[in-house]
Amino acid sequence: MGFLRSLSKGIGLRAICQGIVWRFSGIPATHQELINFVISPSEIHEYYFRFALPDVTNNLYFRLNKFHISENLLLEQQTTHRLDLQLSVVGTHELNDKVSALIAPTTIDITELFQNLLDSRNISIHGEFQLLTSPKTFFHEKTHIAQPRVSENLLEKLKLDKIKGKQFANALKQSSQETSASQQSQKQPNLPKIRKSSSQVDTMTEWDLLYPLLCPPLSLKFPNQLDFYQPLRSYQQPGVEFLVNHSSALLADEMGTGKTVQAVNALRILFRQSRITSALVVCPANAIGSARLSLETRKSQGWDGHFYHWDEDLLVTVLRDSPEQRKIDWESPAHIYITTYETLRDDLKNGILQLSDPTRFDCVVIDEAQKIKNRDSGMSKAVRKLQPKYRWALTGTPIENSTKDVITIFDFVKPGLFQACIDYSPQQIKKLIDPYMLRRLKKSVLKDLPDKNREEKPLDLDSKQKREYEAALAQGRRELSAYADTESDAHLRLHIFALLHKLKKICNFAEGQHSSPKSELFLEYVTKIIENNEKVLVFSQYKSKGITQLGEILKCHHIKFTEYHGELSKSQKEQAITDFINQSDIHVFLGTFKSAGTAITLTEASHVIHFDHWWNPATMQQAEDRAHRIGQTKTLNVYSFWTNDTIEEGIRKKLREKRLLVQTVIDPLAVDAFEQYVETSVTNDEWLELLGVQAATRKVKTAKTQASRPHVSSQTSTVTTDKQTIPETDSISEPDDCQIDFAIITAIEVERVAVCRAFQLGEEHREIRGQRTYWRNRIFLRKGGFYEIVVAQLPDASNIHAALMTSDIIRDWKPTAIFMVGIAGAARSEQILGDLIIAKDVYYYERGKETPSAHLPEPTIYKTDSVLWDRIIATPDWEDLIPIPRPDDTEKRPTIHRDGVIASGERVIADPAVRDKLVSFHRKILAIEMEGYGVGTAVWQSPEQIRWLVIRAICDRADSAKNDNWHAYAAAVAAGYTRHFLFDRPLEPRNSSKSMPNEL
Amino acid sequence: MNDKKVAFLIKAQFEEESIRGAVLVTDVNTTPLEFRVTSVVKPNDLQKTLYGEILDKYICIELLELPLLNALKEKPDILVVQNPLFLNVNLKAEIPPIVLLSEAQVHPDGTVTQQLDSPKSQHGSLYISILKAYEKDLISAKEILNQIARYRDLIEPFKRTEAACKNAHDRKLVE
Repeated sequence: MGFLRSLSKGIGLRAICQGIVWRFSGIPATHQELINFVISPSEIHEYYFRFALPDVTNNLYFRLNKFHISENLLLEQQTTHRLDLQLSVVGTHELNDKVSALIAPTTIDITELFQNLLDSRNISIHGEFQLLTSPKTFFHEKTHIAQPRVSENLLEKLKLDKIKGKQFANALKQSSQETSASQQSQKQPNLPKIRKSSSQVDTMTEWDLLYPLLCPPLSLKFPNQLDFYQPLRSYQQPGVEFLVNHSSALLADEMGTGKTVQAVNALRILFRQSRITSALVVCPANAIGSARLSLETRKSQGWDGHFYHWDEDLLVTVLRDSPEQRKIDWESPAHIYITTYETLRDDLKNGILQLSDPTRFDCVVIDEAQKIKNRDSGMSKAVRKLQPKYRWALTGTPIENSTKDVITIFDFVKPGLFQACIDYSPQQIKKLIDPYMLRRLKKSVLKDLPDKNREEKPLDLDSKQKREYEAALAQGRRELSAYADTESDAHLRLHIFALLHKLKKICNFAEGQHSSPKSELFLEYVTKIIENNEKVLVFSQYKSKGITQLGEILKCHHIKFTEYHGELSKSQKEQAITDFINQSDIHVFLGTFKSAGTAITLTEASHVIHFDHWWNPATMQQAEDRAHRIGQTKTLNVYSFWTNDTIEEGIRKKLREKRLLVQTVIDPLAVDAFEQYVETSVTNDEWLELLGVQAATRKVKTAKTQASRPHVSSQTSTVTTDKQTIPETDSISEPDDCQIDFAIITAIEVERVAVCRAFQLGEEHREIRGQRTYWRNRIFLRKGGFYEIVVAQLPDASNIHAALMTSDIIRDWKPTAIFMVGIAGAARSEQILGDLIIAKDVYYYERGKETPSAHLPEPTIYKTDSVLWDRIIATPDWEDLIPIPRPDDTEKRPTIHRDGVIASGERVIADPAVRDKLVSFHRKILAIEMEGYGVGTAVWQSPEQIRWLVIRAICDRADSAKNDNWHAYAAAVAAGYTRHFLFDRPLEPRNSSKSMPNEL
Repeated sequence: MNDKKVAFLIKAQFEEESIRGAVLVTDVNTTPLEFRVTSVVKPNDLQKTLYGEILDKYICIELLELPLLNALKEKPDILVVQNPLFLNVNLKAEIPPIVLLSEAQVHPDGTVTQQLDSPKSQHGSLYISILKAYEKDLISAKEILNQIARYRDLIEPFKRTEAACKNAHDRKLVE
């Protein structure tokens, strides 16, 4: 208010006016004059608005990671302020383009203010001044340009946040080295903390995973750089090379040739060439092995042991603890994860192993790959979920049962190599897999392995054994004679084997006796072996009547030994092996075939005693090979103890016969499958004959069977896996002479496989008629006679395909009856998965009329055959083994619903609302499927009089949770019951008149 | 001689112009002793403009080379690089870097160069260059490198350093 102060000091009017102009115009003092008291309009002089340069930051350097960006790097027009009296501000601001034009000034009337000022100073303008115009002045409202805001430090200097890494002391190596030192310095070695999982070793970090990448790469071209734990054998190096160079590979070398060594070294090379960073090994539980045991025995025991010895730089995690620990272990860093097939299946199923990235493992090795031969099993599916870059399968027995086994293995090893819809001949299979498979036999690659000397030691029972044996045999015969006519095959077999075990145990020791002819010879041999400072492995099928009693004998004679059987803990087993290998005063290793016969290396022993015998020589040979393998330098002496005139001798003869048969007919790849073949191929009749039960009757029956077999096909390798033996089911040379009794139609592969398995149908039973492929065989019935059966699979699941297939079967085979067998969805949510539904009626629900208001259903109902229905009701209880385990891991038997209705349509129902609506039309509907109506229609329209039946097992609840988990089990239930039903001889066999030669 | 340590230093480029440095210290058998990797350096457009032509040099020396060398616990006797930009570390580093060059590469200005005996090289003849100011260090370096080159391809450790750096980057070991 400087101008007011001027007024009070009596400054002249001109100055007042000038001050007013200044005050309200926002314009600096000008040269304008007040002439004759007239205030001329103020002028705006743009040239007074001088714009200063913007402020500039003091520091043009700025850092990379932390700098502040100005909210507005450009000048901006902010809130407008009226220009105050600090006029000097004007001219220090800058106008940018947006405000380059001054806004027209606003006028305001200051007459009143002017008058008040004059009045307040008693200044009169009347007479002296004449106010010509209203004293108005102007000001600019929006000429104040805001100060641009500039960050105090717009830019920051480029900088680095952090550096990380690791100094590689290599904790694994250090641990081993420290241990070696401590072992040397102390008698009682302070065992190192063998790595089990990175989650349990504090010093391990993700940086340790980089170590193999940072090591010099390995190549078989420079073997001197490979620093193998032991030199590889000549044939092993090509094996390693084969694996390294094949992302899909089946290493099928014979057992005992060192497949694990080859795979471990191939993995090592891949890690060191940066081609993989993680690998998963899936193997049977007894092949996992132990790094600790390997350290103690200095022999590579199992996968863990091989990795420990052959590549200690790899961080190995073994997954076999509690689910909680496994979850941690799966998520913890490691190079190698080792687990079992069962654990992999369960952990994937239960979310313990999250497979959000199926390519998480760069390499997956499946050991004993025949474990996934059943493509519908959970283990097989679990393995196929993995999608690694490298897929390796290891097995000495790629073909156990049929060529299908190898196809299933290749579904993992080389997906897409085989197409599901094609039936491959063995030659085609061999040609396809040849580029991906390497197989070497022991006899051809381990020529330097010392020989085995075999000695058979037949002995007589002592008097107590004889009495007990004869009493047991007599009682057993009586019981079996009774069971033979009343029990099912499976039950009869259980009784047979119970008697066999009882008799075999007596051959070892009589009840209550601590010695026997066998034990005396055993002691004699052991004493000699110890005198020569050698070691011996002793195997028995039995614990109490075998190795335990032998142990007692050794204790009595102050002979130190170790014991290895299924009742020991893992650590006790490891201790037993360690002691036998390391302690020079322990000369005897007592083990059961089951526990000690595989996956351990005991080449310290140069003698093996078979105190008794497993059912087949292959298992015994596998046990012997604990000592007869790489590392053995001495000739291995194998002694087999037999008792004369006992079941042992009978079994021995029987096995010899079977072995000859197997060696002549089984594909060379399946040599090791001998075990299973023998266990299952000796029929109940043969066992009964061996035991002298109803020998006369059975001989006649066997002769009939033999006569009915024109020849044994060279392709015969039929083996059952469920331990149920169906009387002879060999191929028929002239099948056209016989009429078909039953045709079984299946919709999908899993159903057909289940039916073929139930009826022991293999590749050799395949027969092509017209455009269709069938599986045909003859089954011999408990009540006499036989059925001719054919099995077919639809090209796709639908009623149309079912109808066409049924018509073709009627035309081609003219069967007495047709069964539709397979799986179905449950019609009601409360139904139990796995239960069996045998349709009394088939209800076709698709027919109807669509009206504007609603769908009006016009269902068709076909009744299944009344005669078969009558037989179904009369069929005895079904108690046979189901070869597929229940997915819910319970022992529950399926409930059989014999009065149900099966709904048939054209849609896969996976909606509970739709399901419930369908079911509401008929209160007895128990299952929903897609083929029964087609079969019924074709049968109904056929001029032939064909009986028919639909047998279904529940595999899902036809809701949104529908999946394949129960398919295999449900298919096995349906197939198993069908078999049970047929073996009960529901209809008179058509070919009864074609009697066997011996019957004539 | 056998206790000598060699550092192999690299600059690795990843997606979206992310840059990392990594160093691998090995013994004369090229067995790894220590590995370090930097966090990501990612200059923005403004920084690229402001740093101009000195950006690469600044990143290589100030942000990668010096911090990595300072972080090492296994102090190397020789620092080997392939990128000539690392050469200009001048007096800031305890040991002068040596550029390893294959036949096809141009020798950097202001350096002295010598050929190595490299029978295991898969990249033809190998040369080493050092700034003229450190010419005297070239002889001892050549001796060590010749010893390694007798059994190993000297270019190869750079490849594993890059592979490990990429692995660390992919697994986000240094954010």
